[in-house]
Amino acid sequence: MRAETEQDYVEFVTHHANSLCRTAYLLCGDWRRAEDATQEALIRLYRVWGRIQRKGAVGAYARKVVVSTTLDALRRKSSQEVVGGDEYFANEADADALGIVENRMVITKALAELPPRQRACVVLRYFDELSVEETANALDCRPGTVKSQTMRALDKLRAHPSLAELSDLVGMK
Amino acid sequence: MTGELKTLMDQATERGTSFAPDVTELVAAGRHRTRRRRALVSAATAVGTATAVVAVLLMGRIGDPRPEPQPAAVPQPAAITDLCAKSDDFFRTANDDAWRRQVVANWTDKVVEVSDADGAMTVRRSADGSQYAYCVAGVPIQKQPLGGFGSALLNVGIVKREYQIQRYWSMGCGNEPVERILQQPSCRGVRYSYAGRVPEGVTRIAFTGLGQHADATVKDGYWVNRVYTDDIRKGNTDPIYITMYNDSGQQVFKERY
Repeated sequence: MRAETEQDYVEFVTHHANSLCRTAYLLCGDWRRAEDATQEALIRLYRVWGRIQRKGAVGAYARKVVVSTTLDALRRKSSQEVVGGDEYFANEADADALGIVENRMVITKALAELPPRQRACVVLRYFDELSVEETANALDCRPGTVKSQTMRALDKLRAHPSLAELSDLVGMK
Repeated sequence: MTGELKTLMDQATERGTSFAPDVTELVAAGRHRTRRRRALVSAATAVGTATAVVAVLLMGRIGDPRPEPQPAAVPQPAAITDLCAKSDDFFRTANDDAWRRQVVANWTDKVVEVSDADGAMTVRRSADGSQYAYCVAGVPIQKQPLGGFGSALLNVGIVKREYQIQRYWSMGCGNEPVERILQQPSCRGVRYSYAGRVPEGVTRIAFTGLGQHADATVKDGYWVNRVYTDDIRKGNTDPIYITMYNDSGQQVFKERY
């Protein structure tokens, strides 16, 4: 890779690594695992950086790789851990030692109960604020699948006892 | 979508520190993987190519089994056809002579030819019909080609004069079956080759001598003939005469050659 191209990569990593890691955290519920997945995604991104940069879709591709890397990691560990079980967001208690925001626990636990693909749809659509098409591209599926998965996920979130009182979820399509 | 869901997720991902990976390590790891992937791709390509080559070779061997070994071919006294067009390329002489470079390639009209166990004599016509060339070729004896440079071609030339008679003698074994690829110390024969234009009015050309009587092969205004004697050391006690006759059977030409 040429020096100037590599410098672009370094700048991208510097400015977007944390954002990508936050997305990964919402998908897997563990900061250590999210950081590992993000780092792995960024290394994969290096190999194709020149080609992706020429296409002008670095951000979308990077998010796509992060999502696939995180979900793949979840699948590999599925036989050892139960996503959404005790391990999921296990570190929240430490992070929120002061109990500053009770709602943080509410949303994380609600997300943990969603299937990975539905969780990914919610995170990408409402946390990363991607369009249906962008979300479909990140998940490598059709837009219609994103819509249906998102709708099912929102139905489950509405039905969640801790989130039932959130006004924004009422009537959300 | 904005509102509480977004807010909740934002809050859930807030922590005291931000994720800042060691970019230098990321770059180093990326370079390492790129090199490794290139090496793997190269190796896979090499293996694939080698596999394909082996497969092709095996398929070729399976699809085209080697023929059963044939018994060693023994030269037959049957007529040798178009020996003048062949080449053993001895000492890389195959394309050094005008006959092979020009006549064989371009003068495809073979006017007349006689052949025997010792070789052949051929007359060819040029593409425009204006020129005629002759060739005397020999079958190798004792594994050795008979030509001056090891070529099967013994003598070549262009027939120009109207009454020109070409004559050339060469080693020969006669029409009796012999193992030409083996040593034949007893093979001391001589084959005389003749060719020429057929003069106007001549319809028959006879050869006598060496105890033999035969007519030349005539075609399209040219004739060729070959005469054999088994031992040149017997001397020329019965010389060869060429006699030409017209259509009424009258002798018009006789000459000793």
